Amino acid sequence: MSVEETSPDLPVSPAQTAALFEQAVRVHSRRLLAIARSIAGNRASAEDVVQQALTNLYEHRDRYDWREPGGLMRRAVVNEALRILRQPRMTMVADDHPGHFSPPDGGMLDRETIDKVRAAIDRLPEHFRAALVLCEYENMAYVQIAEVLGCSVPQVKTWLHRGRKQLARMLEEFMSREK
Amino acid sequence: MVSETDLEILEAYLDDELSAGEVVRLDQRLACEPALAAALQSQRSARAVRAAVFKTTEPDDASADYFAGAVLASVRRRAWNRRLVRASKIAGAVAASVVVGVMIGWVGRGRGPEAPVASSFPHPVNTDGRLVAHTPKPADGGQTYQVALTDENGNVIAVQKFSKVEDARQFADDLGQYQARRQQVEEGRPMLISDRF
Repeated sequence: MSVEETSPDLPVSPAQTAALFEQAVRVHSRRLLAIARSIAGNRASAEDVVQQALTNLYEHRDRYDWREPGGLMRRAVVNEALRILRQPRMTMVADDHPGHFSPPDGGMLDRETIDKVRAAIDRLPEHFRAALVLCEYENMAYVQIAEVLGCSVPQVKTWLHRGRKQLARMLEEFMSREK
Repeated sequence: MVSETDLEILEAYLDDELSAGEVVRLDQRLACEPALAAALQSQRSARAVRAAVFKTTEPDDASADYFAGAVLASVRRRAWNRRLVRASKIAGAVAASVVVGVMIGWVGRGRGPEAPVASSFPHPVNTDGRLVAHTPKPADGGQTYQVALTDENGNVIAVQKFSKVEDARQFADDLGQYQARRQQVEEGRPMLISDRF
């Protein structure tokens, strides 16, 4: 049983649960969309991934403790994104979602660099990518990543190391040209 | 050249996964191994680029708020639809039960439980029509006597057996008197109520 599942004596009424769920959705949507976008890449719409994950959680909302919903929602979104990635490739969504995702940040990186790095990340195996997003974007510890991805800590270390190595190799030429 | 093991240690260092002792040892090595320090710097730079790229995948506040509102509206709608479907199922089951009940009643109308045709001792009140007790006849080689009860059409509807001929005659006489009184009542003729006294 994970730490976020409710114990039977949890004093939360259905109305409170609904209110906590609503609050959690409003607070965490932004980061959940980013996680979904980073893991699913252009294989699925980030909105679809997050909406399905949150709908699944809502269906069984009475089972969980909504007072600490961050990890629960992250896990649901990661699992939903990985589930979609495991399905046969059917459609591709547009790389840019007009009006939904922000442009390059403050001129720190140019558009080409962002596109190249994002494309390289999208080409990583799904578990490498998921581990990388949870580690470097969500700043999660290896133990937490292992729990979310359902694997061991050494496995997480291996995925991260190999993912970073593959990224470095894929971007080697581009980065050396940029320098 | 930095080894794979050292690269993994550098990654764990940047991921904040090293123990305090390991951090101290690595810092000592970084101070005296320029190649290791350069590898660390390279990893740090690559990580900064990736962090910036991940940041670009975040929607702006307005989009995030709009999305959250849409998700909440969607889950509420689904919950409402599920309640509606559940209520429809219950209503449908009730309606189906009523229809089946009505159909069973319609098909089985007028088929009430039939009255017993004969019993071991048929009471005249429980039978339709006139019962006629016939003269006792010996049966089973003279050991018993039986009184046949017939309806108006002469059909035998019961047979009452007695061990003594006197009892059989008494039964036949009693039944005859009962039928005579019943006939008087039905025809509206006056009768002596206390005829036994």
